[in-house]
Amino acid sequence: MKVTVLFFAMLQEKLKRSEMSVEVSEGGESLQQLTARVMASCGVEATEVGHCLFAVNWEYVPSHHIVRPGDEVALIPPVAGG
Amino acid sequence: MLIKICPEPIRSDDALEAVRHPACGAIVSFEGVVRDHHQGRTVLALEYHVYEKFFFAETKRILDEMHSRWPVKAVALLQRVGCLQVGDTGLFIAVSSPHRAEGLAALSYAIEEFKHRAPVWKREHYATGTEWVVCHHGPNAAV
Repeated sequence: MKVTVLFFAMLQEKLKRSEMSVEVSEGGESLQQLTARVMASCGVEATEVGHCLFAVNWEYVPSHHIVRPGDEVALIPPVAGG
Repeated sequence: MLIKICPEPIRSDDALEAVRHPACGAIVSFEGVVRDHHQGRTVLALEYHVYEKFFFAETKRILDEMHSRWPVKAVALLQRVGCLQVGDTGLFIAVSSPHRAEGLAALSYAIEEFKHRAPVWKREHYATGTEWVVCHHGPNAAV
């Protein structure tokens, strides 16, 4: 069971990819834990994304949010609209 | 409510016409334009990037909040993506309301929330290279 993790802007460049498919258990996993795993697999320190917010299924959520299989997760670097 | 991502130049008349309404005596608008400088450096061009699904969802939430707070009749928001030149329009928002005061207040709210929450990123191009612009950081509720 997997989730899709999306990367944007400066983070996309740092990781040299725009998305990853990541295995999660049926019971889910917190965004903090998931992000730590994803960054480790990319060879990047988790602190590198400390400035990012999270969106799950197109809504901002806190880092303790539990991600479920099938979710679309996005790491949101500081935005600059307007 | 009109929310649109524009790969081609923004046609502000489309937004103004979309919000025109016989019950409204005011149409107020904001146009964000590419500046030729940023923090002392000369800007040659600018790229806008968006996370489309989240952009539509979050922008609709912002505009719904605006509608719930002020008696506005209609709103249109056009966001440009891709590479823009100095002087090009990156964002256009138009709001119609019976009277100007509520329209101006509603527009101000929409712009501020959009700048902090909409998943939009821009990269500036200088003579010496490029850099992602870091301005804002999401809603307080999510931090």
